[in-house]
Order: sequence, then structure tokens, then C-alpha cells
Amino acid sequence: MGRALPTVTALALTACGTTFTDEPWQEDADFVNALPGAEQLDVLLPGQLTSDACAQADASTFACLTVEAIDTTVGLTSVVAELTDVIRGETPSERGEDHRVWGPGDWVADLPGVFVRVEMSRSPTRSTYSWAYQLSDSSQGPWSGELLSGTHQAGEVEVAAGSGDLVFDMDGFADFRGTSGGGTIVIAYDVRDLTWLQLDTDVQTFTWQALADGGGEVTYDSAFDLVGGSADEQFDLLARLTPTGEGRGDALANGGASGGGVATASECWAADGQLTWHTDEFGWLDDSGDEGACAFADPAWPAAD
Amino acid sequence: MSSLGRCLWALLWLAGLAWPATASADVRRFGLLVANNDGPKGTVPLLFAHADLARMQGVLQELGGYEPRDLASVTGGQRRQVLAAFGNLRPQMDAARAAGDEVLFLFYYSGHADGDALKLGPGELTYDELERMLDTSGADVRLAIIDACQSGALTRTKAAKPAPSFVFELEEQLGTQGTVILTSSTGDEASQESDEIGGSYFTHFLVSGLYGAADRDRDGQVTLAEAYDHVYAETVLRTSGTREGAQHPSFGWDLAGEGDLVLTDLDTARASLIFDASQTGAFAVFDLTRRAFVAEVDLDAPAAADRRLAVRPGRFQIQERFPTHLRVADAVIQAGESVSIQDLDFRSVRYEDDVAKGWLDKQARRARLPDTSVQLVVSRTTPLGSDAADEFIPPLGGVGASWRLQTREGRWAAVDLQGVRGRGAIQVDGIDPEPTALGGVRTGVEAGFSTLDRTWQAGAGLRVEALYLRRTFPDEESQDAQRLNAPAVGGTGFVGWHPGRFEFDLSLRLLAVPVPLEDERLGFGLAALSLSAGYRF
Repeated sequence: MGRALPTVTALALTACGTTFTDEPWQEDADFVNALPGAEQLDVLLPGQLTSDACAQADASTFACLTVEAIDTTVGLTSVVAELTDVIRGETPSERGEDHRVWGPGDWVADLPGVFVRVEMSRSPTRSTYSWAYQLSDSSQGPWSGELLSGTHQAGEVEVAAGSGDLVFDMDGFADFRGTSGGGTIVIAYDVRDLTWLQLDTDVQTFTWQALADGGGEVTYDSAFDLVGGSADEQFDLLARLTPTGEGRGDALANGGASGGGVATASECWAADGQLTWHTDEFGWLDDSGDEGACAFADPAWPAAD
Repeated sequence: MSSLGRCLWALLWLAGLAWPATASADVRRFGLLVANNDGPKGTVPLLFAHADLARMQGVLQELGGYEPRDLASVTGGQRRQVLAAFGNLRPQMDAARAAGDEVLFLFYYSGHADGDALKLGPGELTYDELERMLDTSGADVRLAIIDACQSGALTRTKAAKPAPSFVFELEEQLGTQGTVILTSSTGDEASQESDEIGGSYFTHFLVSGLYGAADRDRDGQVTLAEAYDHVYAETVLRTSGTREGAQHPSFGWDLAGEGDLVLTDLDTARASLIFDASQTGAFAVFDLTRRAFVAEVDLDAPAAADRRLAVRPGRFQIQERFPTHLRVADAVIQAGESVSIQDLDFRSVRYEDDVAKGWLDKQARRARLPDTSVQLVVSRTTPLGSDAADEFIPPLGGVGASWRLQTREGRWAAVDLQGVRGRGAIQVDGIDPEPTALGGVRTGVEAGFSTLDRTWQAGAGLRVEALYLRRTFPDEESQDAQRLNAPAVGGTGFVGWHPGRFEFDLSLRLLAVPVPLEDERLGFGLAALSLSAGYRF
């Protein structure tokens, strides 16, 4: 025993104070995984409802409006997802306990000569993350404002399956590129359970709410010249889709040429987006089809602005 | 001369031992000398068989008329090596006979034996095979000298396992014309080694006699009969007081012709020590230059001529032994010089101050030391049984060296040092893999038990190891290197092929590293497979 003690002591001492750890990289992943990616923000419309359906001559206007709004929203979120994928392969240039910086790096293939810098921070409880992309024509700066930024509230089950918003500073992008501005686009999302997305620009708002049965519900409001005249009408749409893609949209228009009243329009469409029934009070299109064939028999009106 | 020795000598003479009287120029002498300290499983290894062979080889080359190219030796080898060495000699013997030379073939063996075979480690060379070897040599005279033994403590015992009459067996099987057999013992007797002389009694007195101590008629030539007479008398005398009792060398022959067989010619010696005709006493001669016991010379009474002892040029100590003390003298003998002991200045010393005895004791201690070998090692180490280990420690290639001790009783111990390196990657969901490079050092101590088999050996043991690893990140220069210092304990096993002095081992080590990695609490395991190639000293 007396002889064994020094040996055991020596062996124990050899193990003191050193080990391997992947903690810095796990922390990197924790940050990166808090950025919303395509997996969270992609929206697959029910059934066969795609932008191809809108190429048909008898496609439903409301169905196509839904498809285009979702494509626009998903297209914007995919920019964020692509940038996120880029920084997954990059080592942070700066690591702090609750922040990371990536870049500058000329990572954007279709923007040669443009350098990107990404900064993220998180709350000490790791419940809230905020991030921002900046651009520059030089790796040394000066850096633009936060052209793309966002916040993310971590999901309880999975960090990325949370809620948050993405802010696109289109005016900032325009300033950077020397082109005309485009305002600010905000995409809010909540993917903790059923996907909810909202696209909010200076002139329109669009929301998508996935339903438990596989269908979905769309609201759209915008101000534009719907029936011709000197002023835009305020247009509000509520569209409902079944899991197969069939749907019904009920819209209200007021203001502008409507003369202060509220006019309505309704449409139903088949799973491939083909119009099956239309009626409106605008004199916009001739009534057609049979309401009795609609997937939703009763109208559901949007809340008018 | 003892009565038995005289009797055999007379028989030999009466039988008309046939051979040219001297080692003439037209006689070509070939020799195959074999020694193996190891015997079959269960026998205690000998200490001095290899040393016996070296001494025998020395005297045959110096004085026996054997050219080095005609004298083959197999030390520590087995049957296959012996037969191969003989196969190399035989064409030379055939060529010599074809050229008209008369050929003598000497086979010498020191090691274990029983009634059926010479025991060469775990293998054996049967007497039938030995007989065929002698027969097929085609030599005019075949001389077999067998010093077959097992061992004891200070005085070890050869052939300790009871066996039929050794000489009888040999005589029965090798009794062909032109064959002489000289063995170290007779019947079921034991043969013995001794720390005091650093060898077996039989070979010691045989070599001593061949250097001149056996030159009874003082004609400058040591014949077979003189050598046997000397080795018989001295061996019996010196072993009569041992625990195992007297050992009686034996002699068998089947020769026809005239004259005696000259084994060594002292006229060819490069230097000589002369004992004057009037000198009496018991003398021992030690080679101080080479730290070797040269010969013992017993001079019972004044004789008609001087006694010459052949030596290699160098420094010597001559001891005259008395019951209570020694008288010693030192001499430097140059090449071509003959020095008379009467011209030396003797001084008295106590037995405990005997320098030569110290050498021999040291030689005996050294002979008991474990075999030492040095090995080059290549290894591959992989993590075991832990996700964290898989993540942090990629397969590691290693190169290093090992120092190994192996006792004759099948115990072994080793220390080793290896440099290791490997490449891996950090795999974390959400980010691309981050390359890692590991380098470090493993050093360990292990000990265990093994089989005694020398050619094929297997063993197992325990291992304690210190592991140092440094982990760097080639694609991320700003990231500090990480270090892991860890002990490891576990088991080791090996199988080895050990032809001659070379060693080739395949080892597997299973180690537990009680150091947690990240959130794992119990540490991890390592499996290391290694190949090693080494040389045993």
C-alpha cells in the first residue's frame, strides 16, 4: 500500500486541470441555430396550389394572390436562410460569452466585392437572440447600417422553433447599392407549433396561419386602385384553404371609388387553383360558377381596416 | 589418473585408434557447435551453455586447426537452425574430400538432453537425427562431444530428470565406424554447472585441457586420449563434493587405424605460459585482458619436460592455490612470447581478495539477469465505448520504442515511449465540421507472465500508462490548443515470433482512462494494437 500510494498520486496528478472540450463550437452552433432557416420558415401550400396554377387563364385571383404573397414571403426568408448557411461554415471572428461576430467575408456569390459582417448577441438565459447583417465594399468598412436584422425568441423544445421577426431595410440596401429605396419589410414568424408568418411592408400586410388539419388561412390587406378612379381602395381578403388546396376567399373593399361603402367579392377555387365560382359587387368580373361547389359554403369576412 | 580413466585410455589404445598422428596439413577439420540454455517446458534454463560454446569455439580456432569458415555455431537456436548450419557445412566437407583431404567433423553440444534427444528449447534433435548427421557428413572421423545438462542453484544439475543411460543410448545409435563420442556424464548421472568456474565442469576442463593442461606427455600436442583423461579426472574430482555427487564423463568410439587423434597443437599458440618441469602445485590461470578463466593446471610431481599452456597475448593472473590462501602473480605475455611462471613474482592473498572470483561471481549474476530487448513499435490507438471519446480522440497512429525484460521463468516487464498523432473533426450540429489535429506522447510500464517458448511466445499482463495529448485546430489559428494529461490502466496481451535474437510481437492493450471528457463522468477507454520488431541482447 505504501508503495502504491505515490504511484496513484502521480497518476492522479497527471490528470489535473486539463481536458478536451468542444464548448466553443457548441456555443457557435447555439448562435447559428437560433437564426431562422429554411426548415422553419418554408411554407408548403396545401395540395397542388403553386405559382404554376396562376398561369392558367381561369385561375382564381384570390388563390393566386395567396400563392404570390407566400412566395414573396418565403423568398425573403430564404435570403436569411442562405446567409445563415454561409456562416455555418465560417469560424467566428470574435467570440464572447453572449455574442459572436462572423466576418467580414465576401461570402455572397451574387454580390462580388461586397463584404458581409454578422453580429449576434443573446440574453444570458439564452432565451432571446438578436442579430444583424451589415455590408461594406471593403473588408475594413465603413459598414452599412443593419440592412438585415432580427430577433428570435427561443422555442422551448428547440431553439430554432421559436418566434421572432426579420427586418429588411430596403432603403438601406438601396442606399448601399445607390438605387431607389423600398421602405422596410418586416417578417414576423412563430413556428413553435403551427407555422404563422406575417409579411408587413409599408403598403400591405399578409399573414399565413397553418391549421392543424393541414389547411391554412390567409389574410391580406393592401391599399391599391382596385376598380379604377382617383383614389386607392382599401382591400382586405380572408382566404381559407383545405388540406387538398381547394379554397374560398372573401374580400372587402372600401374607400376610394367605393364611395364610402363596403363592397364584397368572393371566389372559390379547385385544388389546382382553377376558379370554380366568383361573385363581386365591384363590377370587376362577371359572376360565374356555382357557390354550392365551394369547399367552404359560407363566407368568412376579414376585419375591415 | 583415475583408475577408470586409465582403463578407458588403455581400451582406446588397444582398440587401435586410427588417425594420423598429428593435425597435418592434409587434414581438414570442420566443426558444428551448438548451445542452448533453454530446454523444454518445465526445465530450469542453464546459465552457461552459450558461454561454454564460446570457449570451445575459441580454443578450436586458436589451437585446433579449424579455419573460421569451417566452424559453424548455433547459439540459442533450434533443430531447424542446427540442420541448416550442417547443410551449409556439408558441401564444404564433400569438396575437401574430393580434393583429397582427410576430413574430421566435430559436433559439440552444450544444453539440455534426455535419453532420446538433445533438447533445443521447446524443440529437439533426436539421436537418430544426430546419427544421420554424423553419417552423412562423409567425414573420415566424426567426433561428437555432448555436454548435456540441466541446472541447479550454485551448482546446477544437468539432466536432472531421470533418464536412461545417456552414453549407452549414444553408443547404441552412433556406433558406426570412424565415430568418437565424448559425453559429460554417464548413465543417469547429473551433469553440473558451476558459478565458481563460470561454466559447466565438463566443458571447462575440456577447454582447459585443450589449452595445454591435458598435455600429459608434454609434447606440445593434446590428443583425444589426453583430453579425455584430463577432463575425466578433473570433472570427477571437482564434482565429487557437490550436492549432486561425482559426475563421470564417458567415452565411446568405433575407430580403426593407428595413432591418436590430435585435438590441439600447442606449437601453433601465439603465446605460452611455461610451467617448468620441476614445478608442482595446483594453478589457475585467468586472462585479465578478456576477463576469462583460461585453465587449471595440476602438477602432481616433477616431470621430465616443461608443461606449456597456450594463451592469447595479453595480461594474465596466475594463481597457485593452497588450502588457506592463494599466491598470485600477474604477467604480460606478448605475441610470440613464452613466459615461465618461475620468473614471476608471486604474492600471497586471501581467498576473499581473489579478483578472479569476483569476475566469475559477476559473470554468474549477469547470466541470471533477465534477457533485455529493445523494440521499435508502431501502433494504432482507437477510443472505446464512449461517444465523447469518439468525438474527441480520432484514431491515433504511434511510433516509439520499448525496452523489455524477460526472465527465464516466464515473467516479463517493459517500459515504452511512443509519439502519437491523428486527425479528426469536431462534429456539432448546425456548423460545418472543424478539423482537429492531435499529437502527443504515451509512456507506459507493464508487466506480466508469458510462455517460456522462445520462438513462439504469448503473454499477458497489466499496464499503467501516462497519456499526454495536445489538440490543435488547423483552420482556426486563434483558438488555443487544448491539452489532456491522463493516466490509463488496463491489460495487455501479446503473441510473438522470436526467431533467434529477433522479436516480432503483435500486442493488444485495452486501457481505461478515468478522466471525464465534457459531460461524461466515467472517462473513456482506449484500444491499442501495436506491432513491434526488436532485438534481444
